[in-house]
Amino acid sequence: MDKAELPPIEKLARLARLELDPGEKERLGTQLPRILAYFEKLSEVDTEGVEASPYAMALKDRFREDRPADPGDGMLRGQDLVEQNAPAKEDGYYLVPPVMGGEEA
Amino acid sequence: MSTDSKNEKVRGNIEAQDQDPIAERYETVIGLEVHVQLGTRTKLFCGCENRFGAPPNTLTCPICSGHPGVLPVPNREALRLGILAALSLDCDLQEHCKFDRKHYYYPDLPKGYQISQFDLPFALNGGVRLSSGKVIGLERIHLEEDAGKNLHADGHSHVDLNRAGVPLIEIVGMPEIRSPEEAHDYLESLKRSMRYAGVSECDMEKGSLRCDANISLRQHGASEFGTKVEIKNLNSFKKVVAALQYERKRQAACLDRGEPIHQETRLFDDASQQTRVMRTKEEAMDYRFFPEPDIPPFEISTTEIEALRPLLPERHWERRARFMQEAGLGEYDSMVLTLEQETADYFEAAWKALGPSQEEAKLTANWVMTEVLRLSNEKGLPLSKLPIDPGTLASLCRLIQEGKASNQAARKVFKHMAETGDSPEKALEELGLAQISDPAELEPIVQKVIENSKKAVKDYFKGKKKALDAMKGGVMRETRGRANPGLVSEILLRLLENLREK
Repeated sequence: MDKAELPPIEKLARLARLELDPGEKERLGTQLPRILAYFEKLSEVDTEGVEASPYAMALKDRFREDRPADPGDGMLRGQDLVEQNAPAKEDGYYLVPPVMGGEEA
Repeated sequence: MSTDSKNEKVRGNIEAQDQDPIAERYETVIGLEVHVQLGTRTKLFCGCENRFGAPPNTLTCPICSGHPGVLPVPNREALRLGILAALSLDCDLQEHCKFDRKHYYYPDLPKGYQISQFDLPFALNGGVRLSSGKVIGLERIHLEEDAGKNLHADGHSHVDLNRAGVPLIEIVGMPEIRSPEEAHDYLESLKRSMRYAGVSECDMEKGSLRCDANISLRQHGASEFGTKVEIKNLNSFKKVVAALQYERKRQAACLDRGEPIHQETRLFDDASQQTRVMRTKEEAMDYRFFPEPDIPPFEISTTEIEALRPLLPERHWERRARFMQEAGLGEYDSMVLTLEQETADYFEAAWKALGPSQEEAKLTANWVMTEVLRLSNEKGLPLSKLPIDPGTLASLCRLIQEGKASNQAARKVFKHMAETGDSPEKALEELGLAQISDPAELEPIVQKVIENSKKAVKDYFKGKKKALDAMKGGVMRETRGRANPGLVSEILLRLLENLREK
């Protein structure tokens, strides 16, 4: 990505759900292009003729059968997950700050 | 069976756009994106149960709750059901497929991304056939995981992740629908295809079928599309139609005033029956798609496709056409009988058991569409679990055919059978409703009625046709309604003519 393509810091902050004060905006606004420039170095590597590879291993067609997991496999499940991990909870639900609208799958 | 009123739906499809001033000025362009939950036992990437209605967060594990360090492994059955769905819509299955991450931030998506398919979906092309025979093309079908559910309450949101990770297929239609009514027809046909293929219940109340709609208007004959608006939050077919009708009017009014349409996402508000802006183009999501590195790519082989193809039943529109042609049924009857595969199966089994003729088909169809479907609704039972099976219904129809039971008596017999499980013959006997179709038994009764109806006989000879009905009524009274009406008329006429000759 060229520097010129970097979206405004306000947009990035909105997408990342971050609230930045003017000082942070200023600082990140100068740091981000530098971080990107650092990654630009990767572009200098000659990848001519090398196929893109998002996968670490050359596997394919890895599926599981449609069988419920063994409840005794030691994995934390259901309400135990809520109990042990949720910072806030109510009636078995995770409790989060109010959200309206937003995105559906 | 779905709880929606089916007859209403069918009529809704037929309503034309007569005297529609918007249609005179603009062409409506609609494309639908439909999400269908697949009826697997477990979720798409973990062994948690795929089940509706469990207490919140009880069907979850670290994988579907988005904990770090877990490994999602795709469910083979989900892909199998996806292939069946795609085959039932004549799609081209793709040999090379992969999963991708689609990023957005919302509490119902704990990983911060949804595992979906971006540039290599498992199926392309295909189409959905409307009742008019017009086919709306499909762009693609892809597999993805569902998100959880947010419940918004006083100052907080509650998150339930039971639905997170449930397998979905997203069916993306081409913008080839031309009216809200066609959109309804499209959804009906699509739902039926999914149910026939056995991939999903498609129950909108349970969220197992969901729909987003894109709509734009343009001048007739224009080659470019107008600016489109996406509508979300459409959780019933009725709402899809209402939202599209509202949006069509709103856009037409904008264009009439010379105002531009803004590309935006709108939500349908149930209370006001209107759509309102959810976000504008400037706020459009940047999903930052990239290949899911934790799931290796997969292939769909011709062998696999050909092994699945025979599992698909006859398509609902083919069956409807066959019912019209072979059984000689009307369009409406054929539609009702093919709304659900089990209704069509029940009808066909009963018809075949009764006999091959179109007369027999019509008699059977009438009984299935009225008494059988009513009984199924009343008892809340699928047709396969009813106390009266297709063979028994055929036996009852045969009693009517042979004149052993009147239609009225047969309805009583049907109710009795539904309660007792008796055979039609036994129920008829027990209720004392057996129709008298033996001339030898009827003739003395008719003779007696004639002897006791001097005035009516005189009137009849004077040419008063009504006098005949009076005598017929007399025979019915004598036999408590059990006399075969056709036979009574026959005997009555014969005996009266004998009298006249004397």
